[in-house]
Amino acid sequence: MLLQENHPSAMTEPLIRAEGITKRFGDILAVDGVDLELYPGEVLGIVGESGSGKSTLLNILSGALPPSSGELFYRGRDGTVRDFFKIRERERRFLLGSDIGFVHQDPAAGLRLKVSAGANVAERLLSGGLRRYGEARLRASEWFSKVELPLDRLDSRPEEYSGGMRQRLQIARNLVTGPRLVYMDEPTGGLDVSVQARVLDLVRSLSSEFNLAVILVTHDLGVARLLTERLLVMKNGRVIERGLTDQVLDDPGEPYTQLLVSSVLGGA
Amino acid sequence: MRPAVKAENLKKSFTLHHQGPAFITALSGVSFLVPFGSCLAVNGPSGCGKSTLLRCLYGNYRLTEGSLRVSHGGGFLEMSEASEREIMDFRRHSVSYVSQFLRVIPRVPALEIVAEPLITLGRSREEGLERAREALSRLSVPEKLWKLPPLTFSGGERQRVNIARGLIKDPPLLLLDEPTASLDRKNREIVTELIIGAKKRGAAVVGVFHDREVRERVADGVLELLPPAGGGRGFEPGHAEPGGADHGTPASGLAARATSEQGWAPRGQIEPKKAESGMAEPKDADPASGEIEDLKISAGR
Repeated sequence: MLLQENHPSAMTEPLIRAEGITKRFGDILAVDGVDLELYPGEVLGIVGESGSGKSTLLNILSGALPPSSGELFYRGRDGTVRDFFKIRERERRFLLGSDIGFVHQDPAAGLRLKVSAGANVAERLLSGGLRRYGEARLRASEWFSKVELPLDRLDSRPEEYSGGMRQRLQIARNLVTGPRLVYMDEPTGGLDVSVQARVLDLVRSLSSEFNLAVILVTHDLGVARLLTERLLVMKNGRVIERGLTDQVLDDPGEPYTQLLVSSVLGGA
Repeated sequence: MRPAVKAENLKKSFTLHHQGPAFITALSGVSFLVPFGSCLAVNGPSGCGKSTLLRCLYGNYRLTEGSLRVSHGGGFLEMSEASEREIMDFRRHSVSYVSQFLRVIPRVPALEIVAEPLITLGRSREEGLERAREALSRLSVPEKLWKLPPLTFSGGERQRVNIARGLIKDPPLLLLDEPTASLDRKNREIVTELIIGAKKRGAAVVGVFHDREVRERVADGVLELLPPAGGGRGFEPGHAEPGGADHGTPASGLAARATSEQGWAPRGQIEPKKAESGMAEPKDADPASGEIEDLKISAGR
């Protein structure tokens, strides 16, 4: 609690605010009343083991899966706040194609493998209304450099790429439209450790350079430590602990969080 | 002198659910004040809670009990009630914490690690890097290392990178956990001078200084934490030692000095025991309520 007002932290409004997000699959409560807020430029981590509901939550927040109940308040670029689940499908698709990105664990889920890499990046621009193909190609090549992909592979198809290159391509595809919010589901999950470090560094530097708000789902506490500022710990569909990332990892309160933290070899 | 930190009756305990459960009290009954422009040295044997105290001040450990007010944004932030975002803002603007170990990020060069706190504050990348170069050369980190991630650095080099990072934004509150532990004589001297310089610019410093010589040069007061009784690390509260009987010198410590200044101290709340402080009490303070029993301030040198 701040004892005096006139303070900088009071300024900003959240980009999204989720209330009571719940998802039932038959008798199973996969996500159980999750509340969260995400501010512009902030990286929020969600950790928990497989089956904790973290990926389901991410799919709901990103509009891929309808919730059983709950609200998601989304602050548009014009400052208006609306329930993301209640806006028209066309508008939601437009937001998902421009203002919001989604980086999947498996790049194949977020890319078109049989279309050239350059077209994969340019596609989001063109579908967002950019008309000139030449400009789209130029922007795509700029993003190639930003994610450290070799320009001479611009015309190759992603199916010819390595896993790490595909993941960097997927990141470029998502960021080319200048989104304010990116959801990431285990973005380094399938990568070798050596490749992982490079992708993590990329996410870290791009999120700070472009002031991206990110919700990052991971089971890797080391990744959470490196990339996130705040952390939610999920178990059985519920958020059981939350705090600043270093608080949760260095001073875990809940039995499950303590188990999670103490299970990491060499510490997170 | 205005206070930068007001700590009253701090307690930090841990419940280890998977070890019994075990209940560990790392700190209890710790109270102190740190005015701007002064340095409080936290002293005591290993396991008495020195690092725990610094972590509480940084908001890394969540307090179990007590009131911890830190200067921030023109007022005070009560850490026991602060929101995550308030603590983030406090860290960005009002504090630097130099831990014993540098957390190395793969692929990030030393220069960027040092510059980051300034860039996060909104300064340009160029300015951040320029100031980082100055800081690293001041701390005699060889220039050929600047562009490398500190993964391969020696302990002393890492520590100096860590100190450069901590000092670059010139924060009003500086938390130092054994900042000179793995430094040679020359670098110890440089760091000592930097700490004194930070104080002269008005910063409040709370530090653990293993090195007695460094401690005596930088500290204006010492907070003596008691060793954990019963042997186990922190199994008994590492609380501040009550009374000042074993020190013959009248305390010239921080709380004593701070309360002798009027106009800021909430009356009768943060006043140290008169007998202990050896200082005249503030003329109009009300000694009746809320004396800090465990406050122990001994002379800094």
